[in-house]
This record gives sequence, C-alpha cells and structure tokens, in this order.
Amino acid sequence: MPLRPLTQLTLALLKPDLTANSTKVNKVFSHIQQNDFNIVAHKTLLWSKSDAEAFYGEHRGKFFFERLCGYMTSGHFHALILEKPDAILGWRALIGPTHPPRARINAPDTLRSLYGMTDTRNSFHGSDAVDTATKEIGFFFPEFDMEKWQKDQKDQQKQ
Amino acid sequence: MTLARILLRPTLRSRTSHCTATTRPLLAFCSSSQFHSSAFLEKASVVEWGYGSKEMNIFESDSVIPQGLNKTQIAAGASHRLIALSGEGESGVLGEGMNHSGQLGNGTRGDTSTFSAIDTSGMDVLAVACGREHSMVLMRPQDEEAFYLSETLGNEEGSAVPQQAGAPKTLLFGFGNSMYGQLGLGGSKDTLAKELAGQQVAGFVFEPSPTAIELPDPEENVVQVQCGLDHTIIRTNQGNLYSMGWGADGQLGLGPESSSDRAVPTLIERLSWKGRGKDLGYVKEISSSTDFTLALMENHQLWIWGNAEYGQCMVNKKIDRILEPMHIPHPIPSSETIASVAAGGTFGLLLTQSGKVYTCGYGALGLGRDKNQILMPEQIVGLEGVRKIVASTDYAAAITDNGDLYTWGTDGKTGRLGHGDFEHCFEPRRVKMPQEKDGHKAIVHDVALGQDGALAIVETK
Repeated sequence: MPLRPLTQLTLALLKPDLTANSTKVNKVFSHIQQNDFNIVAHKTLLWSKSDAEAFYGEHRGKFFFERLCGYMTSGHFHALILEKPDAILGWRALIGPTHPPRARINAPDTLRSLYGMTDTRNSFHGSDAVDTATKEIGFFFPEFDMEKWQKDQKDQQKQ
Repeated sequence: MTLARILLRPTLRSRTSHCTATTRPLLAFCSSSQFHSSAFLEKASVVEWGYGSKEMNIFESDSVIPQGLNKTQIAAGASHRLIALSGEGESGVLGEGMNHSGQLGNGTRGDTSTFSAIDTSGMDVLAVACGREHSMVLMRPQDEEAFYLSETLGNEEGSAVPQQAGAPKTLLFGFGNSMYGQLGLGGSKDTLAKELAGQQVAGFVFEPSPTAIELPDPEENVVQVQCGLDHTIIRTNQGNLYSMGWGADGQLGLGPESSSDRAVPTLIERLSWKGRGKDLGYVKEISSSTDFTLALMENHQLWIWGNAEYGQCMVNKKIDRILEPMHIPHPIPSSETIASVAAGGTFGLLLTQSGKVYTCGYGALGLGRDKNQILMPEQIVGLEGVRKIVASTDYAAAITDNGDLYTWGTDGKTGRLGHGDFEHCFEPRRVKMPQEKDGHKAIVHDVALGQDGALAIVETK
C-alpha cells in the first residue's frame, strides 16, 4: 500500500483580469501565504488561441468554450504550483464557487467573491483531483520533475 | 485600412483646480493647502467612494458643473475612473486608478495606481465611458476650424483628415486595452505579436493616448457611447448602432452566426437604419454593462443582446447568449411606459415614466434578502420618484427627483455601495453625502458605478 504523501501539489492559475491589477495580485499572494501554501514554481504566460484550446479541450462543444478561450487569451496570467497537505481541496476551498456573483452572496470570504468579476472572468483556477493536478502541472511546467518530487516526499516520510 | 490618429496633448495646464480632500487627495494636483470656506460649498463637487475604503472623498473645482452642455462627465471602469471638466478655467479629463493598459490616457502605462490629466482645451466633452480596462471620450470641438489647424493633427500617412468636407461634428477617442478589439482602432490580440515586434499595426492593443476612432461613414455623428467590460457600443444620429470588442457571448449583437471579436466599429444591422431602414424606429438610449446591452426605442420598444444566462432578458427564461438583438415584449404592467434602461451584470433595470424602478435577473436585486433570482421584472417597492437609474456588474443606483441617491447590490469588501461599510445591501438604501452637514443639503445630479468604486456629481445647497 503506497504511503500517503506528506503534502500535495496543485496547479493554480491567477487569470488575466486579476493579473491586470497588480494591487489585487499582491493581495492574492498574501492570501496564499497566510493559508500556508508553499509556492513550488511560478511563471507568467500569455496564451495563444491554440494554447487555450489545448488546455480546455475537454470543454469543446460547450457553449462557454469560446468565451473561456477568449478570456484566457486576453492578457498575461500567473501559473503556480502550490504545495501543502490537501492542497487540491484547500486551494479550491480558498478560491470558492465557480461563479463570482453567486460566491459574493453564498461564500463571501472566498477569493472569487472578493476578486472575481463574472462567470467567465472568474479570476482563478484550481485542479480538481490528483490526476488532473499531475496533468495540469505537466502542461504548464513540463520542466518540473514530478517523479523526483514524489520520491523526495516518500524519503521524507520514511525519516 | 487607414486610421487617423489625433493625439491629444497629454497634460493639463498647470493652473489647476481647487480641491479639498477628506482622507486622501482624489487627484494628484489637489493640494491640501487649498481648503475652502463654506461659501465655496455652494457649488458642485465630485464625490468618490469605494476602492477598499469606507470613507468618501470630495473633489471640488470651479469646473465641476452639474448641468448644461458643458456639464461634468464621469465614468468608472473596473479599477479606473475618469472625470471630464469643461469649465472656463480649464478643460480636461482627469483620471485615477490602475493604468496597466494605458486606460488613463496620459500617454503612459504602469502597474501602480496613479493619476492623470488629459488636456482637452477647445473641446466640449459630451460623454466619457469606461470598460474593464478601456476608456472612451466623446468630444465636440468648440471651434472646429481652430481645432483642425492644430499641430497635433495628422495620421501616419501625413494627410490631415478633418479638412474633408462634412467632417464629423463629434469626435470619439479611445484609449487603454484593446485585446478584444474594444477600442475599435484595428488592434487586438491577433495583432499583438506584430505590435510587440515593433512592426506597423493599425492600432495599438495597449493604447496609452486618446486616439480618434473612425466610423465606416464619416458623415455620422456619434451621439452615445457605452462600454461593457470588454466591448463598446456606439449610437449615431443616423439611427445606426456599431459595436467592437469581445463577441463570444453576443456582446456585439452582430447576428445569429456571429460571436467573433471585432477590432473596428461594426454595424449592428438588426437595430440600425442602414440595415433595416427607418421603419425600424429610432433607438433613443442604449445601456451596456458587463456582457450585455439593453436598447430602448423612441416607440418604447425594448431590445437586448449579449449574455442573459441569469434571466436578465426579461422573457421568463434564462438564455445563455443572445447573438442578435432580440425584442422583449413589454415586460411590465401595460399601464407603465418604459422611460429608461440600465444594464447591470446579472440583472437589468427599467425606469418607468411614473418614476418606478423594475429589476430582473440575479443578485442583490433590491427585492430583499430572500429574492435573488427572478425571470420577469418586479418593481422595487419603496423606490419612488426616480429620475435616473444606473447599473454595474454587481450593484445599482437610482437618483430621485429630489436629488437623493439610493444604491443596492453586493459589496465584495470594496465599499462601492457608499454606505460606509463593506456589507451587501438587498434593498435600496440612501447614500449620505459628506456635504450633508451644517444644514446643507446635497443634490445628486449624476452617478457612475465601477467594479471597485463609484463617483457622483453632487451639488451642495
């Protein structure tokens, strides 16, 4: 039986509408630190249409696919690998429900309530499961050595 | 295509306005040494609130004029705002806030909150509008001949544009972000690579200087401009509507097959004389915010296009996106006539000739905490005698005949509702103006709602 890792990785995005406002980006990084996430890797990107369509390929054919790709190519954005115990659930809880207008009423302390704008311009992404986190980290950080990170985790746990 | 560029002198004359500030200066050149006696308070000022503060700031200037042709114009975007002054002593567009994409129009870009001033001497500013990161200024030269001889004119090819006969009497200038093409200058994310490589482009994606926008027909006069978060809608005196910017949710209203972005003003055929003839009727008002637009005809017909996934389309259902303007059958009691419209984010507002306000869609609608979603308009009870309605992504405002301002909506820890706290407000609540002291009464003439904060033109009596 595999050992449960001490910590977990997740892929987080701070999307273009948020990235356009440096004051808000700084506040979000404060939230990340206050919630004990370790930033393992960080880069800023500007996507082409084909980049966006590759990442969101599973949504092709849905009515929001076009606007999602349009939004994600509308400016620079931040991609982060975040680490902490239960990082995947923890980050999704911190960013809150998908739709900021609903979050403002139903989950007012979440990041999407505070910094999200509309259903499309919802400012944040977080991986939803271990396998998607692995896949998405590989998409944004192909240079990141996941196997080595997992091995280091196991070594630490044995100590 | 050839695009004329008329660059305004990006500095205001050094002799600037008088100002008092409560907690911090609204604009850079407000000197704290220029406080005024109470006699000065008989005038109008611009009051600003939100932006993460529970306080209200007052900007006072001899050039804040609430009424008439040269009245002060205000607009607020996601994180920037503009005040256009057209007084005798000065004429300029003042800006404050984020300038990441050049949305303050002072010729620069930057990543910190800042102030700006654009000199508009010789021009009357008829309207200002702000999107998420873009800005529009509609102006008319006070003396056309003198203006056209100005040394600042000319385009890349060196040919002076406005000397052609029948040059437009109004001029529309855009600046800021055009990733989706929302400036209508030809630049968009499709041309960004060329721009960054220093190649010739039709218009910059990040345009930090006010640049003149050309309509397909130079004879047309722009009479109204509205910005959604990432699109722009233009109304002309020839009964035509044009749109540019983001189109994925039908924001541009270009037709059932069209949801692509446009980087130049593009005719909305369904609601334009050029497309449908004068029998269509005349669009007397458009209101665009976030991702949808409401249009009101002179014959009181109501039209909508864009995002309507929260039922803001007032036809008793949610529609993900409306790609072509759709007629809304009169959605309120037949005894009521619609006098004005205001598009928000997840909701829309109607003002009746009798001064009542109806709302429809989702959010803190003004109907109480327990009613956050409706699909047909309902009257906001308790709000009577209203003469103007304004809506933004998450909140709304009404000005009464008495000059009282009411706001309601969600706050999101911005202070944008102006109630001195960070709380949502599920029913309209009057905004107390800082001038209301020592027996003075505040008359609100106009209000502009942005995503992070708001501005109002307030006369003190």
